[in-house]
Amino acid sequence: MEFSTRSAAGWNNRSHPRRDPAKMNGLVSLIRRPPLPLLLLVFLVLPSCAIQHPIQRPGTPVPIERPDVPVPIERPEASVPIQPSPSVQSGPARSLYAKANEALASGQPGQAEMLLERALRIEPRNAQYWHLLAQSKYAQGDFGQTVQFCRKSESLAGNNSKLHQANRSLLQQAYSKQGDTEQAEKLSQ
Amino acid sequence: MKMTKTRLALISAIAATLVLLTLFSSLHVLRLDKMIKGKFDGKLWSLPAEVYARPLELYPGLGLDPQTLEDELELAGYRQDSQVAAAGAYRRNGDTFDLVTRDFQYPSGLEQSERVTFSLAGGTVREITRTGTTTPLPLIRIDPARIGSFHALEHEGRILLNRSELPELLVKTLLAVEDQNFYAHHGIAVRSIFRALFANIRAGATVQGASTLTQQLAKNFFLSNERTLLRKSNEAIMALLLEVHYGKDDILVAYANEIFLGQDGGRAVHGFGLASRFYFRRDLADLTADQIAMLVGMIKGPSAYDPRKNPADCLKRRAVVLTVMREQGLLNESQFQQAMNEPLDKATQIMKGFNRFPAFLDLVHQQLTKEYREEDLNGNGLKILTTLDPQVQWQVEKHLDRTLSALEQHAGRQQLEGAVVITNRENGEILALAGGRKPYAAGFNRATHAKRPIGSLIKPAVYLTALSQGYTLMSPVQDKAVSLKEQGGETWRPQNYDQKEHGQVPLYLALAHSYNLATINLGLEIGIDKVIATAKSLGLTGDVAAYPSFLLGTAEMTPLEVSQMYQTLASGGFFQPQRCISSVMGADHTLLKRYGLSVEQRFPPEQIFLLNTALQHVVSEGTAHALSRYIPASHTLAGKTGTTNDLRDSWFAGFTGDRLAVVWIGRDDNQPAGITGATGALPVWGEIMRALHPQPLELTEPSGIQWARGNADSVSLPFIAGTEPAPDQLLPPMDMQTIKKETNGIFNSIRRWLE
Repeated sequence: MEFSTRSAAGWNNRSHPRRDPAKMNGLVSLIRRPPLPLLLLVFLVLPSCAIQHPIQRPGTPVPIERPDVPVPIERPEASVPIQPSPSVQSGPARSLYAKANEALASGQPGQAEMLLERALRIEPRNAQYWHLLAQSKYAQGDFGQTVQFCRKSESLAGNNSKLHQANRSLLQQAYSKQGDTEQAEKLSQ
Repeated sequence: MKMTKTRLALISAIAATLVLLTLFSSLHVLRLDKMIKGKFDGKLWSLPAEVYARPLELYPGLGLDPQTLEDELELAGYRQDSQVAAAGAYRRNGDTFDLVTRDFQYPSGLEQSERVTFSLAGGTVREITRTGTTTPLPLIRIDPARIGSFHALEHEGRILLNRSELPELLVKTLLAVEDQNFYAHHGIAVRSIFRALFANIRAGATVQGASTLTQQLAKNFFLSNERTLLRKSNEAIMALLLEVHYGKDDILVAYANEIFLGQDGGRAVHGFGLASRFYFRRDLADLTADQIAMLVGMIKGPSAYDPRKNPADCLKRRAVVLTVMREQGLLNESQFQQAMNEPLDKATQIMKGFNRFPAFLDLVHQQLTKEYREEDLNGNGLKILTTLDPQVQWQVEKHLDRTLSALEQHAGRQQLEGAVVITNRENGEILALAGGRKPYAAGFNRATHAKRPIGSLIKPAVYLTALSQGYTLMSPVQDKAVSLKEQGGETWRPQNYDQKEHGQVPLYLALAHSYNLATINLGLEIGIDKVIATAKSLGLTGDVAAYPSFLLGTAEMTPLEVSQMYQTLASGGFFQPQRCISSVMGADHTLLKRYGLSVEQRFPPEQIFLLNTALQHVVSEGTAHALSRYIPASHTLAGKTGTTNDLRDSWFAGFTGDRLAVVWIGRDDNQPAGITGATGALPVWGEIMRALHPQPLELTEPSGIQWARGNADSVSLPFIAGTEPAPDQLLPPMDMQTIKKETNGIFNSIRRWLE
C-alpha cells in the first residue's frame, strides 16, 4: 500500500513518443517553406538552436497502483460459502456488492475493494460488505487489514451466525498467514 | 589607388555596420527565440490540478429533495434543457427528472454516459429507469462537480483540449473570421497587412486587423497590449519563430487553449474548452452553431461582447460571425436563420462553484503538499477526487454564520468565530469543513489551524480508561473538592461549573453532567498516564505533560484533531485516519494513489459500547439535553459538550447514526466569548444536523452485555456480563433523588440561558 509519490517527481523530463513526429513536422515545414531572410540570421548565428523542444504534453506520471490488472487470486481456502444475508438482498448497494463478488471471483480484488468502499458509503454498517472487504484484502495478501476488517464485520454482525462463522474462519487463515499461530489456534477451538 | 582606398574604407564601414546590425538583431531574435521555447514548452502545458467533489450516488430509497438535486446538478455544471439530448443536460418536470450523465474516468475505470429518468416524489428517489424504457437501474453515479483547481500563482483555469477535440465547425469558423490564410502563411501575412492598411486608410480608422492566429498567439503569450511599432515587430518575429518550431496544428491547438474569453470573478477564462463550460455549461463538442459563433465573435473583445454585460453588442457580433459562416458555406440558409433566431439567454447563467469551498480545498492542499512537490501539484494536471459532500457543506455554511449571528444578539457576545468538521461516521471521510463563518473568504482556517484547549471534550478518554480497568457505568465516583500541588508550588483547586459538590455519583452521570471534581478524582485514581495513553489510542497526537489539569482538557487541539479522536468512538473503537481525498489520478487518468479504507481496532467493542451509551446520556439527561430542541430525543444521539475557562471556547462533538460533527465557537483574540458548549457550539451543531435529516443512532450491542438497573429509580444500563451490580452494591435511592433534583436545576438554568 505504501509507495513513493516523490519518485514521480521528474515527470516533466520524461521523454514522450510524440516528440519525434513533431520534430519531423518542424523539419518538413522548414524545408518546404524557406523562412524569410530575417530568420536566416538566427540560423547563421545559432545553427544549433534552430529546432528544439517540440510541444510536449505533461510527462506521464508513473502509475503506482493498477487495480485493473488482475492479481493472481488468493481466496481463503476453506472459506465458508457466504450466504447473502437479508440485508444484502434488500440493501440499496446490493448491486455493487454483487459486482464486487464477481470481481473477486475473477481475480480483481482491487476492483472489488473499490466497489465495496462505494457500497459501504451507502450502507456503512452492513457487516456482510465489511466481510467481503476483508476477503479482498486477503486476496491481495494484506493479512493485517484482513484481520481488521473481519473484526469490523464482527462488531456489526449482530446475531448473524453464518457471518460470525465466516469471519472466524477468515480470521483464522489470516492469522496463520501472518504466522500468528497462537491467535489462529485460539480461534480453531 | 586612392579611389580603391576610399572604396575599401566605405565597404569596410558598411560591412562593419552590417555585422554590428546583424549581431544586434541576432541577439534580439535569439532572446525572443528563447522566450518562445521557454513559454511554449513550459507554461502552455502547465495544467492545474483539478479537484472534484464526491460523485452523487442515486438509488431508490435515497432521501433527496428536488431543489437539492438541482443545486447539485448546477454545481456539477449540468444545464437545464427542454431537449435532454447531450451529456450534461437535465430536465425537471415537477418531481420527475430526465438527465444524461457525462462520461467520467474514475479510478476503477471509465463510467459511460447514461440517460436516466426518475422521480423524487415525497423527497425520496423512486424507481430509476433508462430513459424511454422500463428497465430499472439499481444505482447511478452522477459525475462529480469540479470544485476547484490548484494553479501556480496565476488565477487561471483551463480545460485543455487536443486537436481532435476541437470541433471542425469551430476551427473553420475561427479561421474564416480571424485568419483565412492560416494554412498558407509563415506566421505573418504580408498581403493582409497591405489590405488592412488600405481598408484602414479608406475608413480613416482601424477597422480591420491583419494579425494572423500565430501573431495573436504570440501576442497573448508574451507581449503587452500596447500598440507600438516595436511590439508589432517583435510580435511578427515571434510569429515567424513559432512557425519555424511548431506545426500548424500545434499552433492552432495552443491558440484554442490560450485565447482569453472572459472573466469569472478573480479567474481569467482561457481557452474554448473552459469558455464553453463557463458560458453554456456544456462541453465544446456539444455546442450549436450560434454558440460557436458567439465564442468566436468574443475573441475581438471578451468584455465588449460579454453576453451578460453587453447582450445587444454580443448579438450583433454573433450575427456578423454567422454571416461569415453562411458566406463560407459552413451554414446553409435555414441553419443560418435558425442560428440567428437563437436567444442568448442560455449563456447568461454563470457557472458556479469554482473554488467555492476554500477551507476544504485548503485542507486538500495541505494533505497533498505532504506528498507532492508544489510544482508537480500545480502543473501536471492531476485529478484529485475528494470526499466533499456539497449538500453537507452547504448546510454547514448556511447554519454556522446564521446561528452565530443569532447568538451575537445577546449582550457580551461579539466577534464570534467558529469552525466545523463533519465526517462520515463509519469510514472517516471528511464530508464538509468550515474554517470560519464566512465561507467564501479564503483566510485563516480555524478547522485545521486554530489550536484551542478542548475542555470537557477530553472526559470520554478519562471514563473510557476507567471502563477498561473494570469500572462500570454505575461505579460510584466522588464529586468532592480536591486541592492539588502544581509544579511551582501553587495549589490548584478545580471547581465544578455550578461551583457545587455533588457527593457520590454513578460514573455515567458524572460524565453526563460533566462534573469536574468527579473526573479529577476518577482520573487520579486510575492514573493520568493511563488516560493519556487512552487519548493517544483515540487519535491524540503530540506530547502531553501528565498534569492533573490534563483531565479537564488543557490540551490544545484543532477541531480537525478533535474530530479524529471522536471518530474512533463513533466507529465503535476502530481508529482510522480521516480522509479528504479518495484518490489522485494523473492527467491521463492513470491512478496514482488511492486513499482507501483502513481500520485498526484499538478498543474492545464492549467498552466502547458502554462509553457511547454514557455519551447518549449526555444528550438525554446531561449537559447536551438542549439538543432535543433540534433533533428528537428518540434519535438517541451521543455527544459531549466542552467549555473552557472564562467561557473562551465552546465545543460540541457528537454523532448520529450516519455522521460525526465537531463544532468549535470562540473568538480569534481568545477573549471570553460568553458562551458554554451547550449555549454556543451545541445550537450550531443542532441546526446543521437538523437540516441534514440525521439517521437515529443505534449502537450495535456486542454479545456479552447484560442490562440492569442501578436501583429502583434509575434507568436500565448496560454492563459487561459478570459486572452487573449485585443488589447490595446499589447506590442508596436517596442519593439518586438528590442527583435528579440537581439535574433538574441544571436543565432549568440551561433553558433559561437559551431563552
